[in-house]
Amino acid sequence: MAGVNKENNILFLLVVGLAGWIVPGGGQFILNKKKQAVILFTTILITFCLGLYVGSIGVVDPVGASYWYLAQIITSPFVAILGHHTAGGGYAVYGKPEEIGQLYTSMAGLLNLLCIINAVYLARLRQIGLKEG
Amino acid sequence: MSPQSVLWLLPLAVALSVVYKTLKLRDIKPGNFIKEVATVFGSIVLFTVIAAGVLLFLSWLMTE
Repeated sequence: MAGVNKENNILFLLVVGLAGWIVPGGGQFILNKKKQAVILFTTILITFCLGLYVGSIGVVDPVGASYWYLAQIITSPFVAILGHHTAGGGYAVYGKPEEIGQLYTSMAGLLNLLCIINAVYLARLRQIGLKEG
Repeated sequence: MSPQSVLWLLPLAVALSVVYKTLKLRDIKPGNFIKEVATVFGSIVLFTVIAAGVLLFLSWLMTE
């Protein structure tokens, strides 16, 4: 019985983490923190889109800029769709737009990582019955 | 790279401040939230300006 509970706990943490990855703020949404979820979703989406606006979708490049891509993919798995289209190098972008675009899109991913960690932490606190603080 | 390109820091600092304060505050009320975000944003900009000033001074010392 205790084993089943433990598995359910881990499963819930995984669901919260995955929801936060698939949709920024999704983890907070599951934890019924809807106001926070909306603010996080909007901020991260705007940051990512601003990066795409400055540098075009060419800044998401899993082949030529793989280290940046690692941070960008944390924004959402949907970034992989962009990566699939740009992998051939057909959307090359250089210079300042590339730099600013990569910085913004990667920062959106890292901010989402922060949100995912926070959501999983809050979910764990609820499981063990501690108050957030 | 032009000096104006440093201004791209500002929207990024706003995003960082908003996310940080959203995660930190337990209860979000618009007035308080905006004040808290503005404080973090101001701190980021202030310390960036101080760091830039120190680096500028050091480079001036080394090249004089």
